[in-house]
Amino acid sequence: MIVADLALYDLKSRLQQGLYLRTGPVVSCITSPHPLLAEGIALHYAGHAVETDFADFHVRIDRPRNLRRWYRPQVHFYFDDTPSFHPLPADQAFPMLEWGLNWCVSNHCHQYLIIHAAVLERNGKTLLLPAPPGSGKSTLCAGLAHSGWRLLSDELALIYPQSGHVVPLPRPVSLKNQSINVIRQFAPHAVFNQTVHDTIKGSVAHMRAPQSALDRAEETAAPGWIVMPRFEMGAAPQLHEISRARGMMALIENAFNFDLHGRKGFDTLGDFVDQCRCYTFTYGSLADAIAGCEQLVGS
Amino acid sequence: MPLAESWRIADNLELTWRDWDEDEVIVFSQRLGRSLLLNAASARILTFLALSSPSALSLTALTEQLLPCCAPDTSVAEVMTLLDATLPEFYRIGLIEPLVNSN
Repeated sequence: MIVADLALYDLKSRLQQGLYLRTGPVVSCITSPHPLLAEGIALHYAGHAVETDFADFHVRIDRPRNLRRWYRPQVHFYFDDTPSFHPLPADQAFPMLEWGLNWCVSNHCHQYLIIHAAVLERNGKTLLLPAPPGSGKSTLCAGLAHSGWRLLSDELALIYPQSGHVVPLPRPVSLKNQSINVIRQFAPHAVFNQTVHDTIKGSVAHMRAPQSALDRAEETAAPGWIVMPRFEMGAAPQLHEISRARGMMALIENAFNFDLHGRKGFDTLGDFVDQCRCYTFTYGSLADAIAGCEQLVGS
Repeated sequence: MPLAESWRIADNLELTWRDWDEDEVIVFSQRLGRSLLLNAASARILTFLALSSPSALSLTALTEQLLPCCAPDTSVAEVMTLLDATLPEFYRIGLIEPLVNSN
Protein backbone atom coordinates (compact mmCIF):
# COMPACT_ATOMS: atom_id res chain seq x y z
CA MET A 1 0.00 0.00 0.00
CA ILE A 2 1.13 3.55 -0.73
CA VAL A 3 -0.03 6.80 0.81
CA ALA A 4 -2.06 7.65 -2.31
CA ASP A 5 -4.21 4.57 -1.67
CA LEU A 6 -5.53 6.24 1.47
CA ALA A 7 -8.32 8.81 1.32
CA LEU A 8 -7.46 11.94 3.27
CA TYR A 9 -9.92 10.88 5.96
CA ASP A 10 -8.18 7.49 6.28
CA LEU A 11 -4.77 9.13 6.32
CA LYS A 12 -5.87 11.43 9.15
CA SER A 13 -7.23 8.45 11.00
CA ARG A 14 -3.93 6.55 10.59
CA LEU A 15 -2.02 9.60 11.79
CA GLN A 16 -4.01 9.46 15.02
CA GLN A 17 -2.69 5.93 15.67
CA GLY A 18 0.64 6.14 13.86
CA LEU A 19 1.41 6.10 10.13
CA TYR A 20 4.30 3.79 9.27
CA LEU A 21 5.85 5.68 6.38
CA ARG A 22 8.75 4.26 4.38
CA THR A 23 11.34 6.67 2.97
CA GLY A 24 14.17 4.75 1.33
CA PRO A 25 15.65 2.35 3.91
CA VAL A 26 13.96 4.11 6.82
CA VAL A 27 10.49 3.61 8.30
CA SER A 28 9.10 6.38 10.51
CA CYS A 29 6.00 5.99 12.64
CA ILE A 30 4.39 9.44 12.47
CA THR A 31 1.59 10.47 14.78
CA SER A 32 -0.20 13.79 14.58
CA PRO A 33 -3.68 15.26 14.91
CA HIS A 34 -2.61 18.28 12.88
CA PRO A 35 -4.64 18.65 9.63
CA LEU A 36 -1.87 20.55 7.80
CA LEU A 37 0.47 17.67 8.39
CA ALA A 38 -1.95 15.15 6.89
CA GLU A 39 -2.35 17.35 3.83
CA GLY A 40 1.43 17.74 3.50
CA ILE A 41 2.00 13.99 3.76
CA ALA A 42 -0.79 13.30 1.25
CA LEU A 43 0.79 15.71 -1.21
CA HIS A 44 4.48 14.92 -0.78
CA TYR A 45 4.49 11.26 0.15
CA ALA A 46 1.70 10.05 -2.14
CA GLY A 47 3.98 7.49 -3.81
CA HIS A 48 5.70 6.26 -0.63
CA ALA A 49 4.96 2.87 0.88
CA VAL A 50 2.88 2.52 4.04
CA GLU A 51 4.23 -0.25 6.26
CA THR A 52 2.36 -2.10 8.95
CA ASP A 53 4.63 -2.70 11.90
CA PHE A 54 8.33 -2.02 12.52
CA ALA A 55 9.56 1.58 12.59
CA ASP A 56 13.07 2.98 13.00
CA PHE A 57 11.68 6.15 14.60
CA HIS A 58 8.54 7.08 16.46
CA VAL A 59 7.81 10.77 16.03
CA ARG A 60 4.84 12.97 16.81
CA ILE A 61 3.90 16.46 15.75
CA ASP A 62 1.49 17.80 18.32
CA ARG A 63 0.32 20.91 20.11
CA PRO A 64 1.90 21.64 23.46
CA ARG A 65 -0.52 21.13 26.34
CA ASN A 66 -0.78 24.75 27.41
CA LEU A 67 -2.64 27.93 26.52
CA ARG A 68 -0.72 28.22 23.26
CA ARG A 69 -3.35 25.87 21.91
CA TRP A 70 -5.62 28.92 21.75
CA TYR A 71 -3.31 31.88 21.23
CA ARG A 72 -0.90 31.74 18.26
CA PRO A 73 -0.92 27.94 18.30
CA GLN A 74 2.35 26.07 18.14
CA VAL A 75 3.53 22.54 17.46
CA HIS A 76 6.23 20.40 19.04
CA PHE A 77 8.30 17.65 17.42
CA TYR A 78 8.38 14.66 19.76
CA PHE A 79 10.92 11.89 19.33
CA ASP A 80 9.99 8.82 21.41
CA ASP A 81 7.48 11.07 23.24
CA THR A 82 10.18 13.58 24.16
CA PRO A 83 9.98 17.12 22.76
CA SER A 84 13.19 17.46 20.78
CA PHE A 85 13.22 21.07 19.56
CA HIS A 86 11.77 24.45 20.38
CA PRO A 87 8.11 24.62 19.34
CA LEU A 88 7.24 26.34 16.07
CA PRO A 89 4.11 28.13 14.86
CA ALA A 90 1.44 25.61 13.90
CA ASP A 91 1.53 26.52 10.21
CA GLN A 92 5.13 25.20 10.14
CA ALA A 93 4.04 21.68 11.06
CA PHE A 94 5.10 20.12 7.76
CA PRO A 95 8.53 21.82 7.55
CA MET A 96 9.04 20.79 11.17
CA LEU A 97 8.31 17.16 10.29
CA GLU A 98 10.84 17.34 7.45
CA TRP A 99 13.55 18.93 9.60
CA GLY A 100 12.78 16.47 12.38
CA LEU A 101 13.04 13.44 10.09
CA ASN A 102 16.40 14.72 8.82
CA TRP A 103 17.52 14.99 12.42
CA CYS A 104 16.34 11.43 13.14
CA VAL A 105 18.33 9.99 10.25
CA SER A 106 21.49 12.04 10.77
CA ASN A 107 21.59 11.26 14.50
CA HIS A 108 20.61 7.62 14.50
CA CYS A 109 21.30 5.81 11.21
CA HIS A 110 24.93 5.14 11.98
CA GLN A 111 25.03 2.02 9.85
CA TYR A 112 25.73 4.63 7.14
CA LEU A 113 28.37 7.27 6.81
CA ILE A 114 26.12 10.31 6.55
CA ILE A 115 27.23 13.37 4.62
CA HIS A 116 25.36 16.66 4.55
CA ALA A 117 25.01 16.74 0.79
CA ALA A 118 22.49 16.56 -2.00
CA VAL A 119 22.89 13.42 -4.13
CA LEU A 120 21.74 12.69 -7.64
CA GLU A 121 22.52 9.91 -10.07
CA ARG A 122 23.11 9.54 -13.78
CA ASN A 123 24.21 6.35 -15.55
CA GLY A 124 24.65 4.58 -12.22
CA LYS A 125 27.06 7.21 -10.83
CA THR A 126 26.38 9.65 -8.03
CA LEU A 127 26.85 13.38 -8.08
CA LEU A 128 27.45 14.50 -4.50
CA LEU A 129 26.92 18.18 -3.71
CA PRO A 130 28.33 18.82 -0.22
CA ALA A 131 27.89 22.44 0.70
CA PRO A 132 26.94 24.74 3.56
CA PRO A 133 23.50 26.39 3.72
CA GLY A 134 23.14 29.27 1.30
CA SER A 135 25.33 27.77 -1.41
CA GLY A 136 22.40 26.96 -3.70
CA LYS A 137 22.70 23.21 -3.16
CA SER A 138 18.99 22.46 -2.88
CA THR A 139 18.07 24.71 -5.81
CA LEU A 140 20.60 22.96 -8.01
CA CYS A 141 19.42 19.59 -6.70
CA ALA A 142 15.77 20.40 -7.53
CA GLY A 143 16.73 21.65 -10.98
CA LEU A 144 18.79 18.54 -11.74
CA ALA A 145 16.01 16.28 -10.44
CA HIS A 146 13.86 17.74 -13.24
CA SER A 147 16.60 17.56 -15.88
CA GLY A 148 17.22 13.85 -16.26
CA TRP A 149 19.09 13.20 -13.02
CA ARG A 150 17.66 10.80 -10.45
CA LEU A 151 17.17 12.31 -7.00
CA LEU A 152 18.64 10.26 -4.17
CA SER A 153 18.42 12.97 -1.50
CA ASP A 154 18.51 16.73 -1.26
CA GLU A 155 20.06 16.72 2.19
CA LEU A 156 21.63 13.45 3.37
CA ALA A 157 24.03 11.22 1.46
CA LEU A 158 23.92 7.75 3.03
CA ILE A 159 27.11 5.87 2.16
CA TYR A 160 26.90 2.19 3.05
CA PRO A 161 30.39 1.12 4.18
CA GLN A 162 29.96 -2.50 3.10
CA SER A 163 29.31 -1.60 -0.53
CA GLY A 164 30.66 1.93 -0.82
CA HIS A 165 27.46 2.88 -2.63
CA VAL A 166 25.01 5.65 -1.83
CA VAL A 167 21.60 4.48 -0.60
CA PRO A 168 18.64 6.60 -1.82
CA LEU A 169 16.54 8.53 0.66
CA PRO A 170 14.05 10.20 -1.69
CA ARG A 171 12.02 12.79 0.16
CA PRO A 172 10.67 16.27 -0.59
CA VAL A 173 13.24 18.90 -1.56
CA SER A 174 13.28 21.89 0.76
CA LEU A 175 13.51 25.23 -1.05
CA LYS A 176 13.88 28.65 0.47
CA ASN A 177 13.08 32.22 -0.47
CA GLN A 178 13.94 33.12 -4.10
CA SER A 179 14.73 29.49 -4.92
CA ILE A 180 11.04 28.62 -4.71
CA ASN A 181 10.10 30.77 -7.70
CA VAL A 182 13.27 29.82 -9.56
CA ILE A 183 12.23 26.16 -9.49
CA ARG A 184 8.53 26.89 -10.06
CA GLN A 185 9.51 28.65 -13.29
CA PHE A 186 12.14 26.09 -14.26
CA ALA A 187 9.88 23.06 -13.69
CA PRO A 188 6.23 24.19 -13.95
CA HIS A 189 5.05 20.59 -13.57
CA ALA A 190 6.84 20.16 -10.22
CA VAL A 191 4.50 19.73 -7.25
CA PHE A 192 4.83 22.17 -4.35
CA ASN A 193 2.96 22.74 -1.15
CA GLN A 194 1.95 26.22 -0.05
CA THR A 195 4.91 28.40 0.91
CA VAL A 196 5.31 28.85 4.66
CA HIS A 197 6.63 32.27 5.62
CA ASP A 198 8.60 33.57 8.60
CA THR A 199 10.35 30.30 9.46
CA ILE A 200 13.87 30.37 10.91
CA LYS A 201 15.04 29.81 7.32
CA GLY A 202 12.80 32.47 5.81
CA SER A 203 10.05 31.41 3.42
CA VAL A 204 10.07 27.66 2.84
CA ALA A 205 8.29 25.41 0.36
CA HIS A 206 8.79 21.73 -0.36
CA MET A 207 8.92 20.18 -3.80
CA ARG A 208 7.69 16.62 -4.15
CA ALA A 209 10.35 14.11 -5.15
CA PRO A 210 9.88 13.08 -8.79
CA GLN A 211 8.22 9.69 -9.31
CA SER A 212 11.41 8.37 -10.97
CA ALA A 213 13.19 8.77 -7.62
CA LEU A 214 10.54 6.70 -5.85
CA ASP A 215 10.40 4.03 -8.54
CA ARG A 216 14.11 3.36 -8.06
CA ALA A 217 14.30 3.98 -4.32
CA GLU A 218 15.97 0.62 -3.70
CA GLU A 219 18.63 1.10 -6.37
CA THR A 220 21.92 2.24 -4.88
CA ALA A 221 24.47 4.17 -6.90
CA ALA A 222 28.26 4.07 -7.24
CA PRO A 223 30.63 6.99 -6.62
CA GLY A 224 30.99 9.43 -9.53
CA TRP A 225 31.55 13.12 -8.91
CA ILE A 226 31.95 15.35 -5.87
CA VAL A 227 31.07 18.94 -6.66
CA MET A 228 31.11 21.82 -4.20
CA PRO A 229 28.60 24.26 -5.64
CA ARG A 230 28.52 28.00 -4.98
CA PHE A 231 25.89 30.32 -6.37
CA GLU A 232 27.05 33.87 -7.07
CA MET A 233 24.52 36.18 -8.67
CA GLY A 234 25.59 36.91 -12.23
CA ALA A 235 28.85 34.92 -12.06
CA ALA A 236 30.11 33.17 -15.18
CA PRO A 237 30.18 29.37 -14.68
CA GLN A 238 33.52 28.06 -13.47
CA LEU A 239 33.98 24.33 -13.04
CA HIS A 240 37.39 23.73 -11.53
CA GLU A 241 38.82 20.29 -10.87
CA ILE A 242 40.45 19.95 -7.45
CA SER A 243 42.54 17.26 -5.81
CA ARG A 244 40.87 14.14 -4.48
CA ALA A 245 42.41 14.99 -1.14
CA ARG A 246 40.40 18.24 -1.06
CA GLY A 247 37.31 16.37 -2.21
CA MET A 248 37.72 13.91 0.64
CA MET A 249 38.24 16.71 3.16
CA ALA A 250 34.98 18.28 1.95
CA LEU A 251 33.17 15.03 2.69
CA ILE A 252 34.80 14.71 6.12
CA GLU A 253 33.93 18.31 7.01
CA ASN A 254 30.31 17.77 5.96
CA ALA A 255 29.94 14.35 7.62
CA PHE A 256 27.55 13.97 10.55
CA ASN A 257 29.08 10.82 11.98
CA PHE A 258 32.61 10.41 10.60
CA ASP A 259 34.07 10.29 14.12
CA LEU A 260 31.81 7.39 15.08
CA HIS A 261 33.11 5.27 12.20
CA GLY A 262 36.78 5.87 13.02
CA ARG A 263 39.33 4.12 10.81
CA LYS A 264 36.59 2.26 8.93
CA GLY A 265 34.96 5.58 8.07
CA PHE A 266 38.26 6.99 6.82
CA ASP A 267 38.81 3.93 4.63
CA THR A 268 35.22 4.02 3.35
CA LEU A 269 35.47 7.67 2.34
CA GLY A 270 38.93 7.13 0.86
CA ASP A 271 37.65 4.25 -1.27
CA PHE A 272 34.65 6.35 -2.29
CA VAL A 273 36.82 9.28 -3.36
CA ASP A 274 39.13 6.86 -5.22
CA GLN A 275 36.33 6.44 -7.73
CA CYS A 276 35.35 10.12 -7.95
CA ARG A 277 36.50 13.24 -9.70
CA CYS A 278 36.24 16.34 -7.54
CA TYR A 279 35.36 19.92 -8.44
CA THR A 280 34.42 23.34 -7.19
CA PHE A 281 31.68 24.92 -9.23
CA THR A 282 30.73 28.59 -9.19
CA TYR A 283 27.72 29.61 -11.24
CA GLY A 284 25.33 32.51 -11.63
CA SER A 285 22.23 30.83 -12.99
CA LEU A 286 20.45 27.52 -12.72
CA ALA A 287 20.76 26.95 -16.47
CA ASP A 288 24.55 27.34 -16.26
CA ALA A 289 24.66 25.03 -13.27
CA ILE A 290 22.76 22.27 -15.02
CA ALA A 291 24.88 22.64 -18.14
CA GLY A 292 28.01 22.34 -15.99
CA CYS A 293 26.77 19.10 -14.47
CA GLU A 294 25.97 17.74 -17.94
CA GLN A 295 29.56 18.52 -18.86
CA LEU A 296 30.69 16.17 -16.09
CA VAL A 297 28.70 13.29 -17.54
CA GLY A 298 30.30 13.83 -20.92
CA SER A 299 33.86 14.16 -19.62
CA MET B 1 61.56 29.74 21.26
CA PRO B 2 64.24 27.58 19.63
CA LEU B 3 63.19 24.37 17.92
CA ALA B 4 63.97 21.12 19.78
CA GLU B 5 66.90 19.24 18.27
CA SER B 6 65.10 15.92 17.69
CA TRP B 7 61.49 14.95 16.97
CA ARG B 8 59.46 11.77 16.69
CA ILE B 9 55.91 10.66 16.06
CA ALA B 10 53.89 11.04 19.26
CA ASP B 11 53.78 7.94 21.43
CA ASN B 12 51.78 5.03 19.92
CA LEU B 13 50.16 7.28 17.36
CA GLU B 14 48.99 5.29 14.38
CA LEU B 15 48.69 7.31 11.20
CA THR B 16 46.67 6.30 8.15
CA TRP B 17 47.32 7.96 4.82
CA ARG B 18 45.41 8.59 1.61
CA ASP B 19 47.56 9.61 -1.29
CA TRP B 20 46.37 9.97 -4.86
CA ASP B 21 49.73 10.94 -6.31
CA GLU B 22 48.72 14.59 -6.06
CA ASP B 23 50.33 17.58 -4.36
CA GLU B 24 48.18 17.02 -1.29
CA VAL B 25 47.53 14.04 0.96
CA ILE B 26 45.25 13.29 3.88
CA VAL B 27 46.51 11.78 7.11
CA PHE B 28 44.15 10.41 9.73
CA SER B 29 44.65 9.56 13.37
CA GLN B 30 41.87 7.77 15.18
CA ARG B 31 43.39 8.62 18.55
CA LEU B 32 43.46 12.33 17.77
CA GLY B 33 40.09 12.08 16.03
CA ARG B 34 41.42 14.23 13.22
CA SER B 35 41.99 14.18 9.49
CA LEU B 36 44.50 16.63 8.12
CA LEU B 37 45.07 17.88 4.61
CA LEU B 38 48.82 18.24 4.08
CA ASN B 39 50.69 19.86 1.25
CA ALA B 40 53.59 17.97 -0.29
CA ALA B 41 56.28 19.58 1.90
CA SER B 42 54.45 18.92 5.16
CA ALA B 43 53.59 15.40 4.05
CA ARG B 44 57.27 14.64 3.38
CA ILE B 45 58.31 15.84 6.83
CA LEU B 46 55.67 13.70 8.50
CA THR B 47 56.51 10.72 6.27
CA PHE B 48 60.22 10.80 7.23
CA LEU B 49 59.30 11.01 10.91
CA ALA B 50 56.82 8.15 10.51
CA LEU B 51 59.38 5.99 8.69
CA SER B 52 61.88 6.41 11.52
CA SER B 53 59.26 5.87 14.24
CA PRO B 54 59.54 4.97 17.10
CA SER B 55 63.00 6.52 16.87
CA ALA B 56 63.42 10.26 16.68
CA LEU B 57 65.05 12.22 13.87
CA SER B 58 67.39 15.11 14.47
CA LEU B 59 66.86 18.36 12.59
CA THR B 60 70.08 17.65 10.73
CA ALA B 61 68.91 14.20 9.65
CA LEU B 62 65.52 15.56 8.64
CA THR B 63 67.16 18.29 6.59
CA GLU B 64 69.41 15.76 4.86
CA GLN B 65 66.42 13.64 3.92
CA LEU B 66 64.33 16.57 2.77
CA LEU B 67 66.90 18.35 0.63
CA PRO B 68 66.94 15.81 -2.24
CA CYS B 69 63.13 16.11 -2.45
CA CYS B 70 63.25 19.90 -2.84
CA ALA B 71 63.93 22.05 -5.87
CA PRO B 72 67.63 21.92 -6.88
CA ASP B 73 68.43 25.43 -5.68
CA THR B 74 66.84 24.97 -2.24
CA SER B 75 69.24 25.89 0.56
CA VAL B 76 69.64 24.30 3.97
CA ALA B 77 68.42 27.57 5.48
CA GLU B 78 65.20 27.33 3.49
CA VAL B 79 64.60 23.77 4.69
CA MET B 80 65.23 24.88 8.27
CA THR B 81 62.69 27.68 7.81
CA LEU B 82 60.19 25.09 6.61
CA LEU B 83 60.88 22.87 9.62
CA ASP B 84 60.65 25.89 11.90
CA ALA B 85 57.15 26.56 10.61
CA THR B 86 55.91 22.98 10.35
CA LEU B 87 57.20 21.04 13.36
CA PRO B 88 55.63 23.30 16.03
CA GLU B 89 52.32 23.03 14.18
CA PHE B 90 52.52 19.21 14.12
CA TYR B 91 53.41 19.32 17.82
CA ARG B 92 50.48 21.59 18.62
CA ILE B 93 48.12 19.17 16.88
CA GLY B 94 49.59 16.21 18.76
CA LEU B 95 51.13 14.39 15.81
CA ILE B 96 54.75 14.62 16.99
CA GLU B 97 56.73 15.30 20.13
CA PRO B 98 60.24 16.58 20.83
CA LEU B 99 62.74 14.11 22.18
CA VAL B 100 63.53 15.31 25.66
CA ASN B 101 67.19 15.00 26.53
CA SER B 102 67.45 13.41 29.97
CA ASN B 103 70.78 15.15 30.51
